[in-house]
Amino acid sequence: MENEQQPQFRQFSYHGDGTELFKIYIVNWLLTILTLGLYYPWAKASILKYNYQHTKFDGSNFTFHGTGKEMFRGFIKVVAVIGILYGALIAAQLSGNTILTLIVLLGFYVILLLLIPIALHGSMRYRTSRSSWRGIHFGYRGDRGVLTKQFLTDAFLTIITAGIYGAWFINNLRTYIIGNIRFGNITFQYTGNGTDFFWLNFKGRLLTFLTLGIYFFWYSMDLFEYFVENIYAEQDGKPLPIRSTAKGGDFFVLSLVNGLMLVFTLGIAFPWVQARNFQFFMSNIWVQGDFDGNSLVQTEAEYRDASGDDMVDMLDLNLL
Amino acid sequence: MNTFSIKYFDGVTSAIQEGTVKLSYGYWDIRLEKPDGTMSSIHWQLKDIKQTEFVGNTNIFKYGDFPQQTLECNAPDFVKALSMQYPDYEFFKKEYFWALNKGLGVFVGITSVLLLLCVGVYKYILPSVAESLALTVPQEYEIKWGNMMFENMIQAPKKGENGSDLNLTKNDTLTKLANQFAKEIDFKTTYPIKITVVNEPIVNAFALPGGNVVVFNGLLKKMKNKEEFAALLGHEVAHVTRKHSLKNIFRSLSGYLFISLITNDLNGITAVILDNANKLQNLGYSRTLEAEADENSMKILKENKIPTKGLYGLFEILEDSSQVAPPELLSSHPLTEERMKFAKKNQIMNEKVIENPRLEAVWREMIKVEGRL
Repeated sequence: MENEQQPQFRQFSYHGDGTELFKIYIVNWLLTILTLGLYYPWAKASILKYNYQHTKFDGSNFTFHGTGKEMFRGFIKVVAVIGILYGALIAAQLSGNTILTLIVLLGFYVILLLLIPIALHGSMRYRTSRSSWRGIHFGYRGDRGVLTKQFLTDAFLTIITAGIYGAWFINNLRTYIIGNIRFGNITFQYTGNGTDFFWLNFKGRLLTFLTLGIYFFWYSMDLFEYFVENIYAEQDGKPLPIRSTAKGGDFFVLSLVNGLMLVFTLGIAFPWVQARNFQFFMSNIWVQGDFDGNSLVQTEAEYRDASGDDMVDMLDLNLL
Repeated sequence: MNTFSIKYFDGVTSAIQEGTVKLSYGYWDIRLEKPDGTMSSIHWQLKDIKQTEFVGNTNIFKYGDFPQQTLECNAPDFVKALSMQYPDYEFFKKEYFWALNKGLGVFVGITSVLLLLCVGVYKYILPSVAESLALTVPQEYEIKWGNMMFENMIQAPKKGENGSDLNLTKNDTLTKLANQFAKEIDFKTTYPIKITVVNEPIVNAFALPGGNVVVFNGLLKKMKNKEEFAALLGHEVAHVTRKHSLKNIFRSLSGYLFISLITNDLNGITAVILDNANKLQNLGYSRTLEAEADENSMKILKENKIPTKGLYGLFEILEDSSQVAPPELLSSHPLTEERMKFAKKNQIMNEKVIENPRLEAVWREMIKVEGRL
């Protein structure tokens, strides 16, 4: 096996099917409505499980080990925290005391800002630990304190520079988080830098504006490519560069068809659209180099607390 | 018959190990060929075999605690062999709904029923639940809440600034007179009615929960007589007394919640489409509320012995200005022919009423302040 000639490129692929996804979604919708939203964690778990199972790399599929029960525990905690925050805000407002309202409002935003890096950290630990390929689990070794400090500093700089620093903010965040991901004996680095990312965004937004939005599709693919190609993986010192082959034109056609499907079915085509998107993105990521899929060793500990992941979900964070 | 070839992952390394599984009594006997040619054997106890997944034609089984061992089997009769060998043992999680796997017709049928159910809940059950919830809000909270909304909207003229889009500037003199006017009418309400006249050319008026009624100067200026003003107040106070604003807020809030619940894992476009449908639905509802308020206004006019022609006169003003007014007027006070018909039908011709002289006096004072006399 070890002497076998390995292909130079390995592609990700998604084999999910819109009809199967639709069945899962229908059941999820119904149970979520009947339980007034409490079913949501199980709904999320079922979708994640399906999508992981149907994503393949080098002939083997991924597995999501998270369960609705785990995520429900996190969900309840997060609902309680958000509930208390909003409760305090509403109570302060009803009291009619302006100073109290302002203080509570300030506290509300400060706590919310603090919660973001904490949630990100928890989410990364949970998601990576509950993801595996050929029985080997991913892992995240970042430190919560370090991430929080970096996040708050960068958020502050972004605010005082009226958003300009945002490019560096996102870039630093990616560098820290991706640099701390492990997959057996594979390590990851993020090699992007804020200046490139800033100009990429600048160009993308300018051209999108000048072309009345049409360039948006090419801009999106530039961002995707920048993200993917700057993830640098290494297995036992051997480099495993990652490449994107996604083209703006293909993405434009995909989005156009997806949009039409959604509009003409009043959104019911959503599961098929999702499957098409996954197929597109997965089939456009390639791993180059001398990857040995048989020699990965389990290195990471288990982590079952889904609170951070639920918080990220509820705050609708999409920073990476 | 009971032996199948498999792929096995030990959870320690990612190496694919080829071998066989034999379904024995109480356990699975897994035989793996080691690189040096020797065989190793692993036993999986039935009770610890964790979960079953299907990916394509592959059955995947997990075993033990973290990190789990994994077994993959492609053999087509493996599932059948399992149920033969272990008839009492459930390897496969029951599908949520048997119907989902009973063919396309059943599936489409079930889906349509579910969709209809959702629409039914949204259209019929949800609004009445929301309304009864609105009715449980204690009056004092409603008043407090309404006052808060009011204070956010109305700017005192003392600050010397022009009101922004949301901040309306209060006209103190007219407000005082309008309140005197309102005091002469018995609205048969337990809410503290407070009229506020604001300096805006818009021909409109609205009521907040809890008793605040805001009248735009533009509407006041077009009124020909006190009956029209009384009809307007009767209409707006009915909105307050019948908790229309509160019901409206509860309804659109619950509709919004419902939609965000089902679109929780849906995409933006669907949410937008449904959200607009929600607005349309509420627009239809607000027509019902307006009709209810009109009826009430007519009743108050009659009970207070104010000539009932006021309501029709009021509608004439609204219809006149709706030709030029911004469309928002249409949405907050949708003036339909039915409303005019209603007013015309119910007004009493040549009615003999004992008029309240103070009402006329305050009205004349108001006209004077406006510089119309």
